[in-house]
Amino acid sequence: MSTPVDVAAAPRVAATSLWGAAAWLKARSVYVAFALLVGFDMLATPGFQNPFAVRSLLFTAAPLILIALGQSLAIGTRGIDLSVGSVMGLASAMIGLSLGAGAAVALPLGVLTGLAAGALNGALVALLGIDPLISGLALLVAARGLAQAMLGGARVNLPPGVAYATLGRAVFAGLPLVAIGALAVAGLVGFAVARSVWGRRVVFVGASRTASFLAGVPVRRTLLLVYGASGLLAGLAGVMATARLGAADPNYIGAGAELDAIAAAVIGGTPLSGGRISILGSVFGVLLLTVLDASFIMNDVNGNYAQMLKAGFIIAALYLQRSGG
Amino acid sequence: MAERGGEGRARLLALLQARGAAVLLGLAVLAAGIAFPNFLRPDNLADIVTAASFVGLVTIGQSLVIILGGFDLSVGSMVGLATVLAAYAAPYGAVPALLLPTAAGIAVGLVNGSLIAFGRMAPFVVTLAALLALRALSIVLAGESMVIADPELFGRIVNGRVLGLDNLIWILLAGIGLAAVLLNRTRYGAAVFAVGGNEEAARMLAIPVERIKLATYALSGGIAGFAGALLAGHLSSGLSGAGTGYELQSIAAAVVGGVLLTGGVGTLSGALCGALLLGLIDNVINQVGTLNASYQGLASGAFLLFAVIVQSGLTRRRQART
Repeated sequence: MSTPVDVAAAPRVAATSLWGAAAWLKARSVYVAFALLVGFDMLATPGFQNPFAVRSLLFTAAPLILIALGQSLAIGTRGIDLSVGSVMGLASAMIGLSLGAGAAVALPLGVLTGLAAGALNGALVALLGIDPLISGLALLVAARGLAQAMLGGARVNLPPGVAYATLGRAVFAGLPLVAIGALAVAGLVGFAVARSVWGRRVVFVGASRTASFLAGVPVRRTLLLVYGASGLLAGLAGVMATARLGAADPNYIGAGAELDAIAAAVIGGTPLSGGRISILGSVFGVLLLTVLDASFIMNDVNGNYAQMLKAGFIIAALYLQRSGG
Repeated sequence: MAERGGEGRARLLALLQARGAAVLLGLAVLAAGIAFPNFLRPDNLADIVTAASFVGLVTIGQSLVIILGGFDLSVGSMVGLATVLAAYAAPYGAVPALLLPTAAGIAVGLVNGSLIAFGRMAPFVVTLAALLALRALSIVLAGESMVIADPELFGRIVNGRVLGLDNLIWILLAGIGLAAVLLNRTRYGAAVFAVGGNEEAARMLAIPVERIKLATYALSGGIAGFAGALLAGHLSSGLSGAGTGYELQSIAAAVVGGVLLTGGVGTLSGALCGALLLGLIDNVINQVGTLNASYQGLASGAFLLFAVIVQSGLTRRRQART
């Protein structure tokens, strides 16, 4: 059995028959949908052509890309990481707590907090054999609660500083530095998935845990690393989102982000049934959802209606993708 | 001799898994009674049960869904939406105020259930999307909150007392009793266990798996809607943010109460003990006073984690023995 790991390597189907064309299109639906949405916005959405709008959109997308990467790895092993949003909040709270020690301590501490949460999640899943859905759910509540308890539920503004400003506002060649960073990380993860032994193992574990165990794949270590990486990326995402907001906010940072990350991964061609990962697809999944959010905002759609429409969109997209993508 | 000892221990483990929550609840009540002199006063105990009755009711539906092998993350938002709908319906009388939210909950459950049963989508994705959509809908309908100006009969039904006990406590007990009969004494209940235990086997036994799923999600939604209606009567208002976190508290309560997340195993009395235990923790956090409400999230998350670890340990040890 082949284990395609990105869209370029997705099953090549001859687009001769109509059925083949439909399948070909379905395997690339995230790119098609993204192109259609951007095309629509270019024509119909006021202000979308403005480079500042695109820039602000990429600032929002950068942390989401990071958690979508971790999510794709977890889903690729036929697991899930529901904790990513709350872990972002926890990383943010940790920054808020350690502001006094300076950015050089606070920011790495935020990332490490994510890693610690991910390691805990991985230990529960890999070593204790707990369903990732459950351990993630428990961490989702516990990490959010811990974040709120750490800051007493209040927002803490970041002091002025080069490090925070660089992460929160710096632009290089017209692109946010954080977006370039997130894309670089995506490239790294994509390379690891496609080319490294570990990446092969991740996909293999997702395709069949029993078979990979029998084939001598260190299943536990692979899973531990996957959830650890997802936590690390969520920590990094929390740091980015905090710097962008200019404040550590245990309630707002990462709230509901887990659904975005899951939706982005699945829409991008990483099916929930595991065994296949499309990193490029996940990145475009995030971009699609971010542009969708921006389209609602820029067309003055009430935020609550927008949330309902988006939930409907995600369900529809996942429904269409459900038979393997 | 050794064999009998082993069997005894296996039975003890099984008992611990099923009744651990009751034991833990007893110990917790004892400990809290020693630590806080006011804790054991009857009105405080009644307060705990009353406050826990909303989550308790939601836990009934959640337990059924989990025994079925699924999940319902939409119940918390459904409670919020239900309080808002009850506030809309309250001027027309107590019956609409109770029925409209319940009907809406059933409708939401039917949508969830259809997507899960017939659309073959993952329960947590469907219900997570419903969680977001319903919360947004509540805010659209009510803004932050809607006051029920003159609750009259509705308020009396919800907040009244019969035989010295709050009506909410009676409603909770009746709900648990009815659901226990449904689960343990009817063909529907047997089918829920069968589907949760092994869906393929259930299909081969000609159990209408899809219909059972649809009915169970509808039941869970309907119960959440009803609980929300009661909450609206209790608070005399519709709050779009009401019920936040109930999805996790109800899952935690069910799991603590011995309902296995792998499906097919669980009791409603255990789940009730789990809900009361969570309510007790909230109460104790309030008694300590210096801890703020955000610790409640931390407590229920940590508690869920603890319960899941113990459960999986007990299950594995039992499996190792048999």
